[in-house]
Amino acid sequence: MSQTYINKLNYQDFVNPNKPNYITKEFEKLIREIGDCKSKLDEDRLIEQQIIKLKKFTKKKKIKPKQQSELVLRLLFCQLLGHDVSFAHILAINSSQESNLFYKFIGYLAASIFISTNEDLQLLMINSIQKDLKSDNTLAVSIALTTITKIITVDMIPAVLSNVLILLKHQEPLIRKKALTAMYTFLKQSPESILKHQKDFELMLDDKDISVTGVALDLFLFISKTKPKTIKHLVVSFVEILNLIISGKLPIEYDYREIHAPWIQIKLLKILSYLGQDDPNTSREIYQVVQLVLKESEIGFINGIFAGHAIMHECIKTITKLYPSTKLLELASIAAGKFVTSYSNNLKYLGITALTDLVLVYPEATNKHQIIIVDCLEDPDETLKRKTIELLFRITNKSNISFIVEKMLSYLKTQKDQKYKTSLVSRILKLAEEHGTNIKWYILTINKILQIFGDLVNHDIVYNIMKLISEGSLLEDEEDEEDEDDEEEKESGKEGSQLTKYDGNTALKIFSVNIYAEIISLKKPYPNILYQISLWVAGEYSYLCTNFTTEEIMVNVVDLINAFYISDETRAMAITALTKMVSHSGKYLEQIDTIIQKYSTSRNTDIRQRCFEMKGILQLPNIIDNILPPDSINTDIEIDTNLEFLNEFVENSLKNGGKKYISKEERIKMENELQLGINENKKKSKELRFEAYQSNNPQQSSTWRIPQQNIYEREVNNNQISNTIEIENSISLKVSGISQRWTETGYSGFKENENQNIENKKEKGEEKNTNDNNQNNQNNNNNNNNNNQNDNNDNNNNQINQNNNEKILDVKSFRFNRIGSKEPILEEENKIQEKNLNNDNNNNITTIKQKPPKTEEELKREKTVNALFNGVGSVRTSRKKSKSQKVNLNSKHITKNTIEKNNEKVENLIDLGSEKN
Amino acid sequence: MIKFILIVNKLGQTRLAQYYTTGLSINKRVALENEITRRCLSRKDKECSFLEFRDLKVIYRRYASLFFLVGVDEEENELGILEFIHCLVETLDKYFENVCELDLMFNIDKAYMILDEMALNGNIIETNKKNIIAPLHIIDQVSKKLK
Repeated sequence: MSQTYINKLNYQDFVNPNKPNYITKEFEKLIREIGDCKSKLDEDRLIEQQIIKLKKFTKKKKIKPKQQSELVLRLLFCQLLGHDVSFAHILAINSSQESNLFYKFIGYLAASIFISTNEDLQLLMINSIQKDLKSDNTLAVSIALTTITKIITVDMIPAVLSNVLILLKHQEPLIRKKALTAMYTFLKQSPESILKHQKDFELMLDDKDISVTGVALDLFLFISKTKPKTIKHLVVSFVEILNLIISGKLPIEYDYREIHAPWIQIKLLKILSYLGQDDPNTSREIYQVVQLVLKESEIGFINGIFAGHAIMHECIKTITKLYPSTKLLELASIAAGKFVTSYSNNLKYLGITALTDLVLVYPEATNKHQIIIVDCLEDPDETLKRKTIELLFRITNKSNISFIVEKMLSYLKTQKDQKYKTSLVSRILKLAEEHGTNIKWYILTINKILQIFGDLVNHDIVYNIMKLISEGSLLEDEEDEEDEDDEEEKESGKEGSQLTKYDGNTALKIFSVNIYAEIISLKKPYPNILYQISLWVAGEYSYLCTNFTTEEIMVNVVDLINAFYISDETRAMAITALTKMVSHSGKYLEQIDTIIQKYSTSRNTDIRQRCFEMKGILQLPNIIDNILPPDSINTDIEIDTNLEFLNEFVENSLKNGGKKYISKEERIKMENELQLGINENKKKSKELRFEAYQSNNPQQSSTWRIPQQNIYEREVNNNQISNTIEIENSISLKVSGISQRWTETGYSGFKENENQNIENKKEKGEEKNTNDNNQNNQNNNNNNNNNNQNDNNDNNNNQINQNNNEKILDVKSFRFNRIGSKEPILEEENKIQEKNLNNDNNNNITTIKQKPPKTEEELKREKTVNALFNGVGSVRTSRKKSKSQKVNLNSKHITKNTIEKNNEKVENLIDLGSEKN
Repeated sequence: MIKFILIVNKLGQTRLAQYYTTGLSINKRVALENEITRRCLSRKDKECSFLEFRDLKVIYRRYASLFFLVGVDEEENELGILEFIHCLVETLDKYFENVCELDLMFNIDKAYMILDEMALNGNIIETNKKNIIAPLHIIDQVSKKLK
């Protein structure tokens, strides 16, 4: 039938078209030119020119209705061919407001098409639509209703709803029909408000015109999808209408190829399928009519008319959805069989689609057609093939898995769509995993898949295979394998009997190592993933291999390592496999030396690492078995999480004065406390710093400040004095001092110290208290220098470090206290001592001099600076050496008392310092 | 539900396009049409008339130089649509008396009107040719009186 149309259309093209009388020459020219365009480019150029012309027209103030409608048609063409004509949308609106029906029609038509890109148009049109709905002219009403279905939005429904409801009872079937379509649009946009009027369109089901009923069915189809319960009482009516149609009582105009109103039948079947879904009672009401429709449509089937097939297909779909009835399901599967075995690809496609749904409720449906279904995979039609694959995924079971997977793989090879391929490969792997009953088959299949599509496979499969081989068993009836088919058990039993001397697991390992050793020996550029599995298996179980000797495998692996087609990752695995094989077999190849030599300098760190590992392990023949014991994949390695073997070491260290480990929680707690202290510190330090840094001349600054500065000076001085004797030769103290001198504020000058130190004489009372802190400072400072000498003094150093850490805290808190302390009492002795000291030892004093309380930031910086500039510091101090020695001499006799108070740790520290020197 | 009806010629040039879904910009529309047309044109005669494209099913039928393409959703009956296309062509043929590509271009308004009489909201509303053509004749009478 369609053939005749093909011929007709061919001869008629561009020869003698029906040319309406209203067409102007210009419009005709445009149409002809568009028709002559041979490419999209020509067409675009033409339309762009046309749009320029049209823009000129739209600027005119007065356009005659006739010309306007012609312009609108031209605009319509421009938009149709993909160009924006929003500049002239208003023309369409204007045209729709003309009184002439034709202009009105053109206007509405164009506007409803333009509207998709310009929502403002809707508001401009609503008035004229409202007016036209009340028109006496049937066609005007019809056109307005048609436009409503295309442009209406939720907000506009109330404006027209009442009019449309009246029109539902119009005497003309055309208007009733169109009013119902408008109602459908409203229903879709705002179901709640329209369902109130359900009674109104329930009446339309009994309309004397079947077309109107047909449109009413659209509304019920929509409701049956969303709220099936509200229309269950109408099932009888639907069944009745369906019976009426198939009995041939409709006017003959509704027949299409001897089938009575096929599209209405389809609609009814759809509604019934939704209503009967999961509802046995309703389904029972429907069974009979569906069976009848199916039987009627078969008549069409014999005549080779597609409309009949369409109904039959719909019947199958309905039966699938209804509450299952074995009788109907059987009929459906017979019908589907007719589709599948048909000559036409369209029918085959639908048959496969129908079966895909049908097998879910009726698995027997495909039993007879399996061969035909699989044959569909060889069809050149891609759509059909993809559908078939979907069906095959559903009908795969333990008995046909190997056959289906094989077919799928050969189909995959022809595929070019990478994305589709990837998803398909993973699905096939899943399928094999789910339905594969035979481990041998599974391993072989996976290998086959990996050989071809290894690059598309998720790497999880590697671990699955590894796990399977290490844990699986070939003797399935022996172990706790579940729900195996009898046949399969027998089969695997046979396999097992051939290998009776091994248990199932070993048999599997032998089987797989033979396979994978062979893959390695083939030396083909297979995907890396396959080689990785092969190498792992060969590495683990080479000693079980019966087809190859370990040496042979080793030679092959060596060749593989040198092959260009494997990745570095694989190469690294190969080296490990080689190590394992040497370790397990105790055999060694000369080539291995070459490998080690060659790849020890590899750019890939992993390969290099593994080479060195292998080298190292091979040099330890005594413990090699412990490092790589055979078949150890499933043995859990005991991990001593408490590191108990270190206990002795820890105890020793504690005995030697090491500090106890502080757990993370405790540390956090401590840090928080510290933070609190610092925060308070900060508040006060702000004002202090401001003053202290500003003035170099204490005499000029306000009086209250001086004592505070003095406090620091004094501390420092005492500190200096107390230690100078012991550390005569020590660089460490001085170093830190010097490096500290260069602080944020720059060089803290001599003068200041001199002056301040004079004032310092005043403070005395807290001298004793300060001793400890001074020592701490000293420790802190020294520590940095000592770090350089750690090698020789591990124990001491640990101790010192820890002490320092502890005392940094103390120092801080001390400083903090000092700020608030009262003015110290003057003491004469110290005055003299300090004067001497200060005179000679300006440098040192300044350097160790403490600033007002430091913020956390400062402390940090200080630490880092000290740490960083250790080396620099020591160089600097050596220059100052002579000077400091002088000081030491001077202070010797003065500070004897203080020295005695020093604790052992400081002495240690000083010892260190002197050792260094 | 029908998502769109498209008539293109064998060069892939759109001759008629009716969408039943909103919110498609011109650019997206053109891209969609190009892609679908390209795929349909590349298919062979013996292959089935269905094409799965994203979440759409495209059902197409060729008549000489014109392709009729209908995009539908998952639940639509494919053969029903295939027959609907034929019904549409028959109706066009009946109205234009031996319809050709140029007929559709000169009478794009009428072509749209026929389509609107047959399908609205993505549903098939009328397949009775008499009913479809009746309003068109009225329009024709009106337009003939135009000066």
